[in-house]
Amino acid sequence: MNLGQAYFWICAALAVIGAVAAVAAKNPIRGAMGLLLMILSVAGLFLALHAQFLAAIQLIVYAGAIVVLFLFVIMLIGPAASTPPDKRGLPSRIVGAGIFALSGIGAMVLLVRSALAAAAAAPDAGTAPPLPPSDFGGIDTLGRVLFTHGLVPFELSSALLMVAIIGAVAVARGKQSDPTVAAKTAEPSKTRAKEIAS
Amino acid sequence: MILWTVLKILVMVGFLFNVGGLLTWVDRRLSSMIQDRVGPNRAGLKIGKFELRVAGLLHTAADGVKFFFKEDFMPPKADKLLFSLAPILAMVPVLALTAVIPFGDTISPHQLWRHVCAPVDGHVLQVLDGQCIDIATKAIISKPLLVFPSAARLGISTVQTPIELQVAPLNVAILYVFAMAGQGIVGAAIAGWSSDNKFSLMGALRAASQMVSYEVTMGLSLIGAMMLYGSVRLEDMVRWQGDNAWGIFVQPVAFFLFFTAAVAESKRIPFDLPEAESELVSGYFTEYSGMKFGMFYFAEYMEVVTSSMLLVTIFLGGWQLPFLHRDGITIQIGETIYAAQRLPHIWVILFGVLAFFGKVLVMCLLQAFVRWSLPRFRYDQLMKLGWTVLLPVSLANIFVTGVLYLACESAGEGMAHALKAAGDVTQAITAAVLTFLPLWALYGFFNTRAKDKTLIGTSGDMAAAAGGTKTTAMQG
Amino acid sequence: MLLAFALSPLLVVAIGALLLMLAEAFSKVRTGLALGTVVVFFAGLALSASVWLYGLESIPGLEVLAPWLIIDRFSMFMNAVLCLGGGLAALLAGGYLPEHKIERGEFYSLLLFATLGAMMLSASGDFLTLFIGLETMSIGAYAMTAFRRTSARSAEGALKYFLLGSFAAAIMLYGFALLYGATGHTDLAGVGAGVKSGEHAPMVLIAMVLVLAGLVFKVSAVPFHMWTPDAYEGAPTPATTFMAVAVKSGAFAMLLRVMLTCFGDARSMSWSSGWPPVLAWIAVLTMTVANLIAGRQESVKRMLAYSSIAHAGYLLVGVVATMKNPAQGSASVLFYLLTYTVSTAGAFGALILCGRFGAEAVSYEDLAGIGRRHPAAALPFSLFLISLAGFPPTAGFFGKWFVFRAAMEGGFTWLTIIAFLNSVLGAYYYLRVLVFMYMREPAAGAPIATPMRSGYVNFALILSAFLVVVLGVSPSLSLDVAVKAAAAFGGGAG
Repeated sequence: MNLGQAYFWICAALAVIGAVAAVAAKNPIRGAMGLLLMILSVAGLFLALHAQFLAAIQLIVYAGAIVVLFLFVIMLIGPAASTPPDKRGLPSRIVGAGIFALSGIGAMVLLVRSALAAAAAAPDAGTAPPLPPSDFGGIDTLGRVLFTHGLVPFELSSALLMVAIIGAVAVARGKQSDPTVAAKTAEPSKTRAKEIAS
Repeated sequence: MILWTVLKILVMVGFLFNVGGLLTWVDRRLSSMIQDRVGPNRAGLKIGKFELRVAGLLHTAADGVKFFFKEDFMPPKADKLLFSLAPILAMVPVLALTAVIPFGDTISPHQLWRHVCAPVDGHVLQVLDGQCIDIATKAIISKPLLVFPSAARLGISTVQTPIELQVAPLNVAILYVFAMAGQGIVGAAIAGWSSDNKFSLMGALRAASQMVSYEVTMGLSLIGAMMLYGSVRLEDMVRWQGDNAWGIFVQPVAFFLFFTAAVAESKRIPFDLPEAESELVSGYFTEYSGMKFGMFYFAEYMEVVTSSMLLVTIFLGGWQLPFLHRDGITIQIGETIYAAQRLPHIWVILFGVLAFFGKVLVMCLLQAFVRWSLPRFRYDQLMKLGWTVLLPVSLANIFVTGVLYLACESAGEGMAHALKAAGDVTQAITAAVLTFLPLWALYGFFNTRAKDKTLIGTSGDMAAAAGGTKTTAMQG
Repeated sequence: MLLAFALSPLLVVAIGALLLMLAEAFSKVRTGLALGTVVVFFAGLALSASVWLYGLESIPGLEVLAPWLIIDRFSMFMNAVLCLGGGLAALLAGGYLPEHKIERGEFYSLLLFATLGAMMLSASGDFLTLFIGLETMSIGAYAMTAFRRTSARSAEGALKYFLLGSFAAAIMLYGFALLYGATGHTDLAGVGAGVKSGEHAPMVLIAMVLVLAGLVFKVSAVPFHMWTPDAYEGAPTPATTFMAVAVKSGAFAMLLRVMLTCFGDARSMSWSSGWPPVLAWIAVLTMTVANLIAGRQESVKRMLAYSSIAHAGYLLVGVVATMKNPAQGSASVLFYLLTYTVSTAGAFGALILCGRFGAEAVSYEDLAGIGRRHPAAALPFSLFLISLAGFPPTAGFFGKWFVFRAAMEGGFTWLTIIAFLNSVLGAYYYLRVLVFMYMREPAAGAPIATPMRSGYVNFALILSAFLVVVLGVSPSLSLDVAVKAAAAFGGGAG
């Protein structure tokens, strides 16, 4: 096992540990930390694949923004954020887990079988894949692809971001600028004042 | 190569730790100077008759020792794992960030350790394949001499590949910087959560929201600079500034935006809402003591250093000095060369490295001045400033930069020449400022008026001036 | 320039949305927003029609957009249907939102952008644009569902819709990823070619199941329908209309495109080893379950929600019919979508018209006697319900007729019989509304719904009633158009 492989296995193991911790942790903050570990390890795996840009973006967007958002929400909810005990009975849990495990294992077996078959059938089986060009995964190459080949989806995604922003504003701002609320809260005091006056 | 990498890491981390530590003292001394009091000057080392007390410089060491021996208290209901993890998470990203910062020009070893032929009568000699060859006859005359400082003489093979004075030359350098800066938030957030303390939680929430908000401005303020420099690699940015003009001249608005955002990122006054002592005890590290507190405290000072490094690299020309090029000094404005002096490679490199660290120190001092000059914002003012002032301004900066860049690009040859000359003029201005400032500082230092002296001196001096007290004898 | 012309329906909606947002930000007047939105939608509709009439064959350079966006007659038809649905929803919003005091400019922007997403979705020829379009549409719909901030029902519906919708999108994305892994393509045609070659069969199979699950969720078919009643009931009624009409149309356009392009090879489309039996059983389940539950509802809005699930079942019958004859099957689906759009939008509009702020028409009881008191609101309601039930001479009748005929000719006699029995079952709850409107009187002292007045809603009702009648009396023109639109899938079963 050379250094590169060792790096891969360490990152992969950490990613799996992080993922398991994210799911299994009882304390939501620890779950978020597990997620962070997973994200960092996946960024490490991206680096091993020469995808430097993707690794940096993974760190900025997921670790720097999304996990922080999670932390934020958990902290705002406060101690109530800890998971309440699962009240479902053992049988239903076992059945649910069993269905998921069976379908997951089945899918995994199918995938591995097809992958093995493909690997055996491929003519260049066993040889290492060629190294990517030196500018692979950098900003220049990516930017060029984004603004030439992928211009259409790039522009379309601006609509997606736009609608997400408007949606967030619409949902978050609703309460303050809803005139019905103001009217409702204002009205009772008025009527009460009238009652008192009469 | 590994050896060089280790050496580079040692330089960077050593600088970071030392200056970070020093800053804790500078900050306190500077505050006392600004507030017209004495400040810490007590800590001393006394061995027999010998007393060492360098203006209180030993306070730094004393603080460190204190942190290590102080009780490491942990609130009983704290989340043990996360409580211990948080200081590490706060400190590591700051250290990791320095990996991409170039602190000097690329060293070309074959220029550094020059093979020179000793002059022999009647021959004009040239070094070729490790031999001194007569240019005219192509005959091997003698062996060349290695001129200072010879690594070969010490048994180290002279590496012929260029050495970049940067720990990790990544091709996504700026993004790496933001990625690392973003990780710092997590440390503060979970420190506050795991302390099981309302004040800590509030501080953590404030810290996280503040850092997230200002990170946006921080990133967007650099877009204009990236457009001009045509690269996201920090070393390319520095080279561009050396060839043209320093970033502060071409992106003045971005400089102030980035500076503000960087101060806010390091959670220092006037943006120290997360640890505002009058409201939140001391924010997210209220419950921390001992070295764990020390790590937060120290990380904050190291953040000052790293943000200064980034400022210097992106806006203040990094290792560049005005008119100092790879081959020596060439004073050139437009097409006219006023003076030229070739310098050995090693001197150029050394000047560069010193210039970089010197500039960083100046920026650190500037940040310390800012800290003790401005009052703290209110929290809603902070958010308003970030989202409704800095962010729109940084967007406008991108837009204006783009338009101007396009206009200059399409204006033709004449414009390019004019811009080049303007760039040289900015170099001249920088050179003038760089000469004038230290002179002015020296003048100020030696020309202190007597009245000031009594105020800035020690309390002992003041007491002595007032006629002495019972304890003045202790001052000596 | 011609390229911009071919894209103009999308462009006009996008630019219109941005301009309206600016107008809203810089002016105090809110009343013109609904009108502006409606104008934008009908401009989109008119532009789709003019691009159609100009002929896409004579527009060069469309391949520049490939494979991201496929501008063909299918997408033009869908653009028109979506703009019609969006326009009707905007008209209803113009009346509903001021009446219920939740008039805020964001609603119209969301409506426009979500419609834009649906248009992108129906035109996309690549998983990337497909997903972007899907999310644009869905996020708009989530936000519109949660638009009534003060209502707990709205929040509940939106949360369920959002969570389940995100899971469905993630599952589908996982399927896309597996397909990319198996075939090395993200464009639908390339994936189709890879699937046809038959390599990586198990991986493709898993991917197909995952993609199908996501698609079926988006069209809200059983067993992925749980979110529908809650979301439909909680959302403001114009948003419900949009979800029932435009989101469903967009989802069916996506379903047709993905199934017929990616899984359009003989193997995947065979009864023994492909997706048609799965969809057929889902269709049977959807129709039966939805009709049975719809009959038991006390809230008319909820009943209409289940009715829209049932209609998804009928539409799936049409999708199954593509197995034998892709062109005919998809043409019947497209025509059905058109008739369904006008009938459903009309029905929701009539429901809006029947109530006003504080006295909203929700349950059957609320509608009691309204036919006598307010015939102007009840009469169009009856027309749309009859169309939804599928009685001649309304649009709904021909919609069902063509779907059933496609299924019969495809050899799915049993499926047709089940679908027919189901539409008979469905007639029960549609007619029940009529019974309440015309033959009951409100109980003494019970709160009665009083109709609201709004030019916007009136116009929407007149427009959809006109279309329902026209499509019901002479369906041939629009059917021709649908057949031409579906010709894109003519050679699908290769």
